[in-house]
Amino acid sequence: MSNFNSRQRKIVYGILIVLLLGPIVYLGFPAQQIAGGRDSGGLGKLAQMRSRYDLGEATLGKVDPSSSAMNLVLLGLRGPAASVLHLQAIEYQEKKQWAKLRATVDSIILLQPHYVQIWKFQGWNLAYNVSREWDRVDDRFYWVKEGIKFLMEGTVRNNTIPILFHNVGEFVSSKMGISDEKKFFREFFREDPDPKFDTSTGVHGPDPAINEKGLDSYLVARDWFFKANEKDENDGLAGVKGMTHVFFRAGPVKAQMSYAETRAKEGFFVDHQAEWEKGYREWMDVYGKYDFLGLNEKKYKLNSSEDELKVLAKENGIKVSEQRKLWDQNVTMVNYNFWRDYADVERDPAMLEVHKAFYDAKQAYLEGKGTEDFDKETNTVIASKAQVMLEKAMALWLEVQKKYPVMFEDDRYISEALLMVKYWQAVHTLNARPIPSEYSLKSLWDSQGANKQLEIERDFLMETRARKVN
Amino acid sequence: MDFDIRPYNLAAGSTSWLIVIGVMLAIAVGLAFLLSVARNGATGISVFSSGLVGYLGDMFSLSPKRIFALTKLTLLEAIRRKALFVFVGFAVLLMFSGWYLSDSNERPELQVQVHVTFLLTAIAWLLLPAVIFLSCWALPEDIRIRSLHTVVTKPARRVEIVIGRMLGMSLVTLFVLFGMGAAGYFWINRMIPEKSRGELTCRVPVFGELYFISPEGQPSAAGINVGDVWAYRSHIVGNSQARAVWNFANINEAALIKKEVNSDGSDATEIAQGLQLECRFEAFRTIKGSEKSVRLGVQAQYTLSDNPREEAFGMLSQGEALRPVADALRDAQFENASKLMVELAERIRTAPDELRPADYVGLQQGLSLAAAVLRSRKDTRLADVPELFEASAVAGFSVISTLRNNAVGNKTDVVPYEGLATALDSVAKGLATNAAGLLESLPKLEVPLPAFHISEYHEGADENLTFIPRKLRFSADYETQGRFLAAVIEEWNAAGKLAEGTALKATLADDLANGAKISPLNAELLVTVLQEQLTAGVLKCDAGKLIVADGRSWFTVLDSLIRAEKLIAQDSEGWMIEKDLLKDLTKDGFLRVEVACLNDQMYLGMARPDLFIRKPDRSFLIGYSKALLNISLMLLLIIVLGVTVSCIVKGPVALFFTLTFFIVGQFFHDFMMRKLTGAEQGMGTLESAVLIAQHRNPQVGMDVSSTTQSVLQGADKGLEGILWGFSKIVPDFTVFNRGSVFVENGFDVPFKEAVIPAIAVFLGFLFPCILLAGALLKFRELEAK
Repeated sequence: MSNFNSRQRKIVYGILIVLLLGPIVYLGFPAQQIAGGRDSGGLGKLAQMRSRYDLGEATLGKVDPSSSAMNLVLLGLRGPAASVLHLQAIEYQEKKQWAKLRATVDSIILLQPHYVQIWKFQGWNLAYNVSREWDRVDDRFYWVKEGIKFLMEGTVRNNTIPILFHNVGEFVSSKMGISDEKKFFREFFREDPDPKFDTSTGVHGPDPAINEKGLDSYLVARDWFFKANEKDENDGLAGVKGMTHVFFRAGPVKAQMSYAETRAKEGFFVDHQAEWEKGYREWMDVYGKYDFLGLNEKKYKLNSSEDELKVLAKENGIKVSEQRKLWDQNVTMVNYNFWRDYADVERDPAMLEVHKAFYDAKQAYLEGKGTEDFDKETNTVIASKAQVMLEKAMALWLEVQKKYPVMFEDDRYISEALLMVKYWQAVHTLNARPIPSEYSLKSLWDSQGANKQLEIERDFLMETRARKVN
Repeated sequence: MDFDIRPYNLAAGSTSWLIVIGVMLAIAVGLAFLLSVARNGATGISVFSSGLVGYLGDMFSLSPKRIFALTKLTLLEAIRRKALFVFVGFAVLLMFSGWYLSDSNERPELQVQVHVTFLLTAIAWLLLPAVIFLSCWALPEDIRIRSLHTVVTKPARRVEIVIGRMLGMSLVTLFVLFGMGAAGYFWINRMIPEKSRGELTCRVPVFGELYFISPEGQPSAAGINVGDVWAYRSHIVGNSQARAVWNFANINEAALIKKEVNSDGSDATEIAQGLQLECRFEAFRTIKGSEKSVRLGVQAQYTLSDNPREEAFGMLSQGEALRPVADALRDAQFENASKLMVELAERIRTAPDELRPADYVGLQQGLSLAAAVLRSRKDTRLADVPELFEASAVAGFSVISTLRNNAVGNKTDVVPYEGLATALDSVAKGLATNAAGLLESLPKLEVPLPAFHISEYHEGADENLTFIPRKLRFSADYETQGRFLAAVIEEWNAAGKLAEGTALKATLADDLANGAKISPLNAELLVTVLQEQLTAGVLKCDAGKLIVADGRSWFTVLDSLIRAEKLIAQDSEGWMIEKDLLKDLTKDGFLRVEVACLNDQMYLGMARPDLFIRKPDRSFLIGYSKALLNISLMLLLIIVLGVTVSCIVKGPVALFFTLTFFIVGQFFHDFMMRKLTGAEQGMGTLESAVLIAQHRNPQVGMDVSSTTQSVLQGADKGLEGILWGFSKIVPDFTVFNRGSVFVENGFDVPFKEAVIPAIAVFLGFLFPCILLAGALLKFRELEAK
């Protein structure tokens, strides 16, 4: 080689380059050529293997060119760069530099787009920690949305990971449904206060990025839980990484029940029974009949008859008593029977009547219809509308209690009854009347401790803050 | 924004600079002399003196022509070395930055901040490596390839080579920076969405000084800590006496702006002159609050106040024992204050130990401040009260000095409590005697502005802006009402417009309504009350003048009538009074603004820069240019340092040296200064190392003998000395970032706080570096590799 002159050396280098290009092309032919259905003649070995073992980035989710560019530019220093960015993000958060925090989080994700925990953590951070730093409720809602949108982007970039889809459902469900600001957030979810989402008629519309059809938050959450369960079906794994499988699969049906429950609390009783019926059926026939794998990969179903237990025991190669134990453990863990019975009670038309009567009575009280009247002609006192309706609700409650005595020992039903009594007492106080020594729910009221009564008192005050005074 | 930058003290900085330069010059000359003598023996003296003379000769015979020729050469060389290629990197960054920035934030103010931060950071950090390489490599490379030899054989002085190099590289850098700045300006205008362009502006703030008043009325430097990790802001609790007080200086016509306002609630608007206040408060809730507050945010209220009594006696409220006296003085209850002060004096005389030493310190400080404020008013109605306060402050000083000496020296000297008690008795007597004069002389004027809901973290949001018209109409409190009516009556009485013969003028009510800006209903009430007092003999008419029968001042009479609720406004608005913002509320250019939080169990958090007077906004280009100026000064300083170091060492060493200077100056300067000033808690380097090795904490201390401990502590002192020396020669590179911080947050870059320090640091290093680099190049052997 040393005898070659410069020109000859260049020719040799050129030939070597072309020769080396062959194996590179053979190995690295792009995946798209293979996926096109044409015979690639053995080309693209690496792409084929990536596809076969689900190792390609494209199989994980949408590929972001900027993310790939950033990783390329960093020349293998992705780890240290991400660590520095994480530290920066923490500092920005401490110093309330929200714009920089958001931009830094985006940069981290460009570096580590398939690191599931980062999507979960930062999505949570934005929706829960950052949002609560803001004072005004519309600002809090904005950051809750940012967290949800961030996590949604995570599902696009990692569309084979069920837990991310589940988390989106969980965020929507819990932030809109049970947070301190739920009253506002549920409203904002359908009618976003940001004027840019106003409809052509000038009323607030939903943010299409999280609620395209303007649905109830629980219905949107349910859709995400469904998607999560679908991903779970298709990911080829027995369980789900990051969550106990039996809890994970309950997402859609729990959202359905919460939807039916919350609507009733907000005074929407149309289709109440149908929604609870749907919840009950899903709980019994879909969730209850799903094949879960318990300890030592033994199969069980939450809704199993004695015969089904025997069949499953045989299938698992264990004794029926062991199968029953396995079943019992999991039924207890997810409180399966309670939710079954709860849905069963709520789908009963009598229960709808109780809720409706109590809701109407509360509305009457809040609208200032708690004051009694006096009929001068007959010289009699006419009880207030609120009192009449409350007494009706209390009587109905007692009727249904006889039908479901066990379920009515649950705190939610007891609290509802006690609140009826509290309203009823308040109506008496309003009319300067002593509380009668006997009334329909007296024994229940008297059986409660002082703490429970105080709790009901507080609930009553919270609910009646906006009462009209005639 | 998380900074609290103070105006730079140029005089103090220059003095410190002169001292350091003088000391270093002396050390350098001394060292050179010793080295010369050590190397050459007795002839070293003449070698040294001829070298020094030659060096000084070079300094005083600089040729601009030669310098410019060398500058031109450097320019050409830099271009040949493809220094301008840095543009390509910048262009690539700008082209693809949209990938990373566009989706980050939907909100306009957040988008602008991210884009501006990116642009300024990109400009600084792209140029930085190019500048470091260029400045550190050029001279050593010239020496290596011997191209410098041809230059030094010409009549060019070596210091001229240094200056030429620095100038040439600086010009290249400035040229590139200007190009980047211009491209960046167009880029940012293009990248920021149309709807957010309005946010691309420079607010011009006038910051004030902040202190807090606790819920108990006690002044303090900080408010309540609500447990935030970041202790930048401190809080005031809502629905209490707690206040954050800002004092703004230099408030005059120039600070006013014109704004279209709707003053009467109708659709009509008018142009009014006034001050614009902007706040950036933080809210903290301990309860959820009402639906209204959840939707709209926590409520705050400003009160403009001119309150000499608060200024004079506020400090006295430090400590439980002194608070009753201070409160009485603040409320203008001077006779009551006199009695309380007698009681305090008696307590000091009979049971001095009931008061803590801190109470005596507080008392002394309070008395001293009261004396100073009262004296500054130069009001004869105060009689000898300022002097009495002064005397008691002196007596208080004797007490605290003796207490301190006794405590420190374990002595039992007699504490002169009696002297202090006697002085306080005199003050009490003075207060009682001159109560009327004090009341007249120390008027309190408070103008509460309408409450507003803060919009947390929304920079420049309308909710956070408050326009204060110059002509303020407000419902007066008792004291202001009394003073206003007294002034009207005195003025009208002097003009003979109140009475006719022995009775009030028949048309007085109408006249007052028309001429004194009093509502007709209130004017009628005033005339009725005056007539009642006239009938009751409290007032009398004499020769067409209305006079007070017992000779009291009009204010005293009216104040008693108001407090007897005889002058309760008949108008639903109350007693509306008009005051001028500059004439009535601003004293010697100072405007005092008190901030209160109105919601119970909620807090407002604030730091000094969180309330400012906003002057008319400036173009973004102005602030952006100043930020670029700061960046350019940073780059030029790096060139100066790089060239200086490269005069004596090779390229890689110079590079390492300059980079170290930059990293320490940029990232660790603040830590270094905090360590040296004791603000940073912890122990010395060696002590810390031992503690780490022993797995012990500073509270427990090292597990070593006392001798070892002394040795380690002594060694740490030595290391600290080295650190101190290092801190004097490492530039504080953070001063160059200040401009960017202001612009990123939508502010103009203030000259005194951000630009002057950058210029001063640059110049402070430029001159010594030229002298040093000239000497290093002159006395080095170029062939020595």
